[in-house]
Order: sequence, then structure tokens, then C-alpha cells
Amino acid sequence: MSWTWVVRKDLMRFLRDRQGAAMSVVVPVVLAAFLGMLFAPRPSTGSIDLLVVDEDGSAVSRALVQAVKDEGTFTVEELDLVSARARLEAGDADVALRIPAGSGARLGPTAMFTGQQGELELLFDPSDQTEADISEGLLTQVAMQQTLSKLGDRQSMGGVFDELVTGLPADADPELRSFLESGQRYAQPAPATGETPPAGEAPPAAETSGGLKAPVVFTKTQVSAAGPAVGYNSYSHNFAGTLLLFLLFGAQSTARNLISEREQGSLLRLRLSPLRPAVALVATGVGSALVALLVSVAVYAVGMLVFGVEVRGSWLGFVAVVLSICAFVGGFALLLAGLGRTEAQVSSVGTFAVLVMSFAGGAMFPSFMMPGWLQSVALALPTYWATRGLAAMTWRALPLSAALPSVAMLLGFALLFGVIGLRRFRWD
Amino acid sequence: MIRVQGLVVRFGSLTAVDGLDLHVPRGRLFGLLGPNGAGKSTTIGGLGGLVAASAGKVEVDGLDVAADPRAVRRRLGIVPQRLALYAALDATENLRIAGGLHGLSGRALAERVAWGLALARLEARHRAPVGTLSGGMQRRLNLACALMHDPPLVICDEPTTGVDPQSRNHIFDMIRALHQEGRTVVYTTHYMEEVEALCEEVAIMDHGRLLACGPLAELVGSPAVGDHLSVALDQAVRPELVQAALQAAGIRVRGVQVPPRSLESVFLELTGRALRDAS
Repeated sequence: MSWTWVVRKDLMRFLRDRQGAAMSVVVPVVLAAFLGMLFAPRPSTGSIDLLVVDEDGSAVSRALVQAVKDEGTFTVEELDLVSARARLEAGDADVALRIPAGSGARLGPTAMFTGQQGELELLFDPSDQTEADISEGLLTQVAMQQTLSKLGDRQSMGGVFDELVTGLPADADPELRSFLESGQRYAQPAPATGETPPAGEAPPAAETSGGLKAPVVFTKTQVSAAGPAVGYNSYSHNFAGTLLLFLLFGAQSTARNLISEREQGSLLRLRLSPLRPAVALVATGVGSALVALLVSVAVYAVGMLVFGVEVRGSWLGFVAVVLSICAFVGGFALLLAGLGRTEAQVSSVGTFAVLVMSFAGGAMFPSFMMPGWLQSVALALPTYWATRGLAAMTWRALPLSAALPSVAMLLGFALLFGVIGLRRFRWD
Repeated sequence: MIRVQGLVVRFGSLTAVDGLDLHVPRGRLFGLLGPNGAGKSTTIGGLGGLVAASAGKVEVDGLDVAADPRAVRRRLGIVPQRLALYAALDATENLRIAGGLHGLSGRALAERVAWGLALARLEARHRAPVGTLSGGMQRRLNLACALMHDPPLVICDEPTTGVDPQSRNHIFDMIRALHQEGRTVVYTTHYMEEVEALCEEVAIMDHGRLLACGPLAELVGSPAVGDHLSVALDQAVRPELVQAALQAAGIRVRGVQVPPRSLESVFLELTGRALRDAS
């Protein structure tokens, strides 16, 4: 078939420049390795998406949920455990707080003295370890504040001390008994005028921190389809993102070559052939996609053999995502060739588009590090779907079905970009 | 082989070809002359279906170019003025691509590549990247690439631009050989001596219009050559009038003869002497 010679021509040109071809693999590998090390522990910069699973449903647990909402750091969404796990597995949320049934009864102030704290579960995306750690600290603080607020008036405080003294065993530590009884006395109704408690007798409960414990303890659970025993490999994300960045630069190079051929005259070789112009251009896009596939195979081979990147999900899904990414790269090359009239235009417009898509789409940095509005914009970017699809099939260990949205979106972008490129390309 | 009727090509407000009529019979070696911006390349583009006609009709080998440009391109080998080569690839790869784009494959393609290398005299440099070849080698390869599909009609658009005398002579030999094989060849240039050396019929065009067309001998032919007298005229007059005037003045002459004009003088007379910028 004649059109295959357009593809062969581009492959020959790519492989002829052996140093350039090698660099197209080496550079993304080195950059991915660097970023993988850099972002293994990640700082949090934005709000945290917190899913809340309130299985207790008591007034105490509802009050705790409300206090978490009021805290301001979290964007709270309440839902059931199955849905929460699914959202975490898909990477659509950072952390989930589970309040098990019956735990509300142990979230009162007495837990701070008895050590019988409420046990809450913190489920988190393995790629969001830092978010989980931050959430644990903040949630402990919220629980503490909420508990202490119950000691805000003497009547409530008296009830707590009465309960604690009543519950003390006969052989309890005399010092503890003495402390709690002084608390009882402090919580008695206040004198009518200007009377202050005797000095040193009844310090406020919040200041008696020596024997106090946090009102809650957290059990932290990683949630991924691969199971909690499988840790997050930061290289998985960075190999996907860096590969994508360089594939897009490769598309830019294809577009530049096409413009260069037009300016230097070699594009006439295609025009003077019996090929339809559209077929010749589409074949150029296919050539770009095949080059992208070669680079992808080489980069992932290094990632898997050296850096432990694994396809823990569906191999079929992984191949489908990679192929659709390559198709998108071909479409993007045609789009740039159609939009840019000169090599300089393709260089400037292409570099801008590649960097914006890569950074805003989450290819270079995880999306939770970006502002909320930008995370919404990312949904409209092909790079978002590409990194999402690769993450789903690699470290998230999701099934083939999880790859399909990414595949559909990437093929859609490939078609859209390709059609625009075909319509706008100028042969002269 | 080529029949152009009332061809008009406009680019916006610019009329590049303005009502061109041209007929090139099969098997001729035909010269198309014109200064820069005369409309030669646009006319070639019209023949290959690369440029859409604003009006008129172009037929190649009996096929309407507008109706079936792909079929026309199978019968047509255009040697473009600019090098349509991939500089990073070698001569063999360029020839393979050119043949492959025209549907050649397998043994037929391999044989044709060998033929192309021999035609361009590049057997010894067939693995060298085209960018490292001399200008003359690149021009020869450019011509060979256009012939990979063995077209019956070959159009050469200034194929000797920037080459040394040896390569130019070799290109001339290639073109003569193509003609002798029975192909129709249209040779476009603004070098008069090349047309005089190669072509049997010539068309001269300027400003998108055909100024003269016919056998080379007719264009450059003139009254008999005078051996002894050269007369510089201030106005165009017929030799008989000059002779009659001389005789009326009592001067006895055996005859008045006009020296033969070169094709260049005919060309310059028709197109003027003003410098032209490249379009």
C-alpha cells in the first residue's frame, strides 16, 4: 500500500538519527527517575478531599462529622463504605474517615482519662501517604477540640468527673483518685459573687495533660485494588507522566518536520504521488504514533526492569491505554502542523501546549497538588485521561473496565485533533 | 499529450496564468521558456493537479486533470525546481520512498531503485545521506525519483539550477535518453541555451500569457544571412524596402539580408529587458 511509505519514511528518519532516537528514551527515563525520587514523599498544598463513612450515626458521631466540616481544611463528602473504597481505588479521593458502628459511645471526654478511646479508621490512597498523615493529625485535633468543648461548663464537667470517680476501682491510684475528686469539687456550682477556687486545688481539665490521652485513635488502611499489602510506587506515576511529556514533544517534532518539508520542498514528494492529500497526512500521523509506540515500549521496559514499575491491573487495558495515547500523539502532531504556519510557530505554540497539558493534566505533578479549579479544568485535558488510565492499569491494579474511559477520551481527542489538523493544514 | 485550453489560475487578486492555450504532442521534447514570475511553475502545478484552475481545462494523456488528478499523476513525472528529497536519508531510501508512494513494491521496486541509482550515477554513493551529496548529485537524484514509476510524460522544472557543467551535461543526457525512449518531455527554464540545446519546440510565456509557440527553427529562423553589410535600423522595416530604398538611392546591391537572431534576442524582444524579481 502506497500510504505505508509515508509511515516508513517517518520511521526511517526517526531511526536514522540514532542519537536522537536514543535520547528520546534516555531523557524521559532519567527525568522520571529524578521525579520519582523527588516526589516519593509529597507535601500537601491544597484542601484534602475527605470521604466520611459514618456507620455509627449517633449524635456524637454526627457532631464529629460536623466539626470536621467546620475545620476548613477538608472538603467533606459523606457516603457508604463500598462507594468510598471504590473512589479511593480509582484515585478520585485522597482519604476516607470511617466511624465504625458503636464507636460514638467512646468518643466522650472520659476516653481521655480511661484510655478506652474511640477507634476510627482512616482509609487512604497509597499515593497520598502524606495526605493521610496530615489528615490523622488534623482529625485528632478536631476530636480533641470537640471533646474539650464538652467540658466547657461546670455542669458538663461535673458529670464527667462524677462518672470517672464512680467508675474507679477500689485499688485505684490514690493520686488519680485525689485528682478526680478535686475536679469534682471544681465543677461544683460557682459561688454567687467573686469567689475563686482555692489556689492549686482545681486546675482546668484541659491543663491536666499529664494523664490525658487523645480521645480517638486511628487505624490507617491503604486502599487500592491491589490490596493493602502492595505499596505505592512513585515511579509508576512519574514514568507515565514523563513519557507523556516527551511523546508530546515528539509530536511537536513531527509537526516541525512536516512544516520543514513544506518549506524545503520535500513535501512535494507526497503531493506528486497519487495519494490523496488527506491520506498522506493521516499516514504522517500514523508514523508519529508508531514512533511514540517505539519510545513507549522502550521507556516502560526500562521502568519495569530497573525501577519496579508493574502492570498490576489489566495488561490488555494497559496496552489499550498506551495505544490510544499513541493515537492521540499522532492527532496532536497533525493539529500542531495545521495550526502553525512556520517552524517557529509550531515550536512556540507546541511548547506552550505541551507544558500546559502536561502540568495541568497531572502528568508531571499529582493533581491533588493543584488548586481545585485547575483540577476541574484537567478533566478536559487528554493528558489527565492518559495519566489516569496508566495509573489505573499499573499501580492502582484496576480491571480493564477502568481503562475504557481513558481509551475513549484519548481516541476522541485523537480524532478531534486530527480532523482539525487535516482541515487547517496548508500544503503550500 | 498535453492540451491546455483557456487556463486561468488566480491567487486572490493575482492572476498567475491568464488564458493559456497550449498543445504538446506526444513524444516531443518541448521547451517552456519564461522569466521569473511568468507563470511557468503555476502552469506545471496545473498540469499535475497541484493548483486548482480558476477557469479553463487541462488534459494530460486524454485525462481531465480536475476530474482525476490521481490518475494523471500516475502518468506524470514532475521534477520539481526545489529538491523534493529527504536529506537525512540516503539515495536508495529516497528512491524506495518515491517508488513506494507510486505503488511499487518487492522485486519491481528493487529493480527500479537499481535503475534509478544507475541513471543518477550514484551507485558508489547510494548509502550516503543525501545531505552530504553535491548539488549536482542531488539534482540527478531528484530527477531519478520523479521517474521511478516510469511515467510517459516528464516535466522538468529548471532541473539544472545550481549544478556544475558536468552534472548539467549528464542531466541533458538523461533528458535526451528519456525522449529517445519515446517519452514526452516538457523542459522549463529561463536558460535559452539549454532550450536551444535540447528542445525541438518552444513556448515562451510571460505575465501568465503565451507569447510565442512553435518549432525552434521557426522561432529563431530569419531571412538569409548577409555576409558583407550590417545595417542598424532605427525602425522595423522589411528588407525589400531597404533594398528598394538603396536602389532608389542608386546603390547597387545584390540583396539585403537580415542576420539570424538568437532565441535569446527573440525572447528578450517579446518579454522585455527589465529585471524580474522571483515570484
